[in-house]
Amino acid sequence: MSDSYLYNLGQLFEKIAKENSDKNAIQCVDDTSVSYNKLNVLSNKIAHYLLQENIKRNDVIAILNNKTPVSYAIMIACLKIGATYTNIDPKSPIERFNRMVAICNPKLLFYYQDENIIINEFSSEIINTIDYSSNEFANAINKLEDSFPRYNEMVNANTPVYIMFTSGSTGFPKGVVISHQNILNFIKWSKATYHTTVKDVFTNINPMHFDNSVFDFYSSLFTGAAIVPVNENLTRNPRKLLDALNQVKPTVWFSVPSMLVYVLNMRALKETDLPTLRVVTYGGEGFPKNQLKKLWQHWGNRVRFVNVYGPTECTCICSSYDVSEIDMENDDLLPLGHMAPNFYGLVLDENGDEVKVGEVGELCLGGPNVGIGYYNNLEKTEEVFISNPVITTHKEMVYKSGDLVKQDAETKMFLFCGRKDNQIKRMGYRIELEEIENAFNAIEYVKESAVIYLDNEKYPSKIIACLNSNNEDKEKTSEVLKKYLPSYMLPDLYFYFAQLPKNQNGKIDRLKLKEELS
Amino acid sequence: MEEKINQILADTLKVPLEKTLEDLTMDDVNNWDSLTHMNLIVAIEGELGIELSGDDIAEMISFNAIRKTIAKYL
Repeated sequence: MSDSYLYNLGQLFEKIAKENSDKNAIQCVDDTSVSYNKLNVLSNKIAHYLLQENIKRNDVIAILNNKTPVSYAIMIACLKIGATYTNIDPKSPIERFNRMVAICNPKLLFYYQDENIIINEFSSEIINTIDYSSNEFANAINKLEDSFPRYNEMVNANTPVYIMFTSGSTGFPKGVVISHQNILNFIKWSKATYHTTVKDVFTNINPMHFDNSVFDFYSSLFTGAAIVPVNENLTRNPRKLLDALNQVKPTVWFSVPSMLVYVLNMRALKETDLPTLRVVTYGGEGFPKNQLKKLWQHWGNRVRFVNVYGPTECTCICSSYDVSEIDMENDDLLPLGHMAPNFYGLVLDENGDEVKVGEVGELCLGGPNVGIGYYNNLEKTEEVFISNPVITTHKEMVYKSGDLVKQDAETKMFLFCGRKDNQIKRMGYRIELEEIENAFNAIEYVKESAVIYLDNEKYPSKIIACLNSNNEDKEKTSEVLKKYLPSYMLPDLYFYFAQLPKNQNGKIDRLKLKEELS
Repeated sequence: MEEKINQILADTLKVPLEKTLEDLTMDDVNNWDSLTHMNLIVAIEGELGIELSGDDIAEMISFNAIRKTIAKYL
């Protein structure tokens, strides 16, 4: 392995681990820790285990990830041998889980013992499963060698790193594929933007199946900083979360605004909490200004606030904006910020032509963060990963984000204006409303369905199901939906109609439904 | 009042009304995550006209604990 030319993440981790060998890589809230050396040895042993199981470059490994040192080490082991990992929500509804498995066809599924997770529901005959929390697995890897696997030479920078599932309008989740090249660039950007040092301690509040966790994992363990795994149970009780974090002294917090709003609204935050915090960064959805002002009052004088934007398809983050006192003087939503260096945004009209500065159009993103596409879905990939239409002399890939934006003439920053489709955000999770409609369509007694999203005084942030159905038992329908949809996608309200309104083309008129219910 | 509390639990946690008679905990209800918990607290405060303290909220992790906490304010 050459120090001067690191072209994959396995090599980078090996280098970082050697340089920081005795330093904490993982700092747990129960006061235990794992050093870089220990994590590196563990990942090497698991890499040899995977090779022994005949796993090769580009094979997919599914992980139900509980953020233990072993589950982090499985991810690093995959990086070292070029296997593509996919962290799947351990509480996925069974039908959604089956669809994700059908798309990525994993060679192995790593899981842990827990009575509340999906592994208890699905048939393990279709995939080889391994309980990584078992003594059996610990014994099996202990016997293996702990050297850096030579097979790593095979892992080039275009090799996929992970598949991140996100909502799909056809009813099937889409698996976004991100390469080693994408992440290597992301790490460099993150380190420079956040001035990361080996003394930093990053929270890992975001679930591993959620895109924001990419920041937590790669910004910390690939720069010599430490990561603090935070499990879901702890996030549900904000006071306990803060008490636990106070013990490990985090310096960088990244979450969706909803998590920060939750901590604020649950009246959990005290002036003395997290005294070592130097950065709070948030993205995945807009931060309601009234709530942001409250947080600013708590931390504004001692913590750097960074608002970030980026779709899963472009490696987590594309732009960032440093919040300042001036932003607290109005109620405007914050801008998406300046594009990361080495990255650009184009605002295009429906014909693919650039709009004038200040006009609204679709934001298309270009640069080394643009991912490879959707796994096993060439049609959708070709639809939104396109050659830059402004450049006609050669191919340059851009991603059509679906986000409608306009560029501020003075600052050149992009301002979010809405979506061109029916995608919404909840807790930072992307939801294609059509995925919910497709779940309804799988229920035999539902004749027609339309799902709308309202966020007004009468219906604040509500997903509303409008149904024409032979059975109007909302509880029964909701129980069926739970097989297809994660909890954040379940409708909040049901309205029943004898017939759903149609537009001139005979399609269900969502706009009219919105008007009727507003 | 009991019925009103049960209805709030059923609507915000998306569980059948009869389930609210049991003492379910955060672990028993799959979709009782932080967002739902926040919606639950907002609904309780709004509909019952009370204001809970941070310590109260931290304790409200089961149906019985919720009923007990609300009882203090009524």
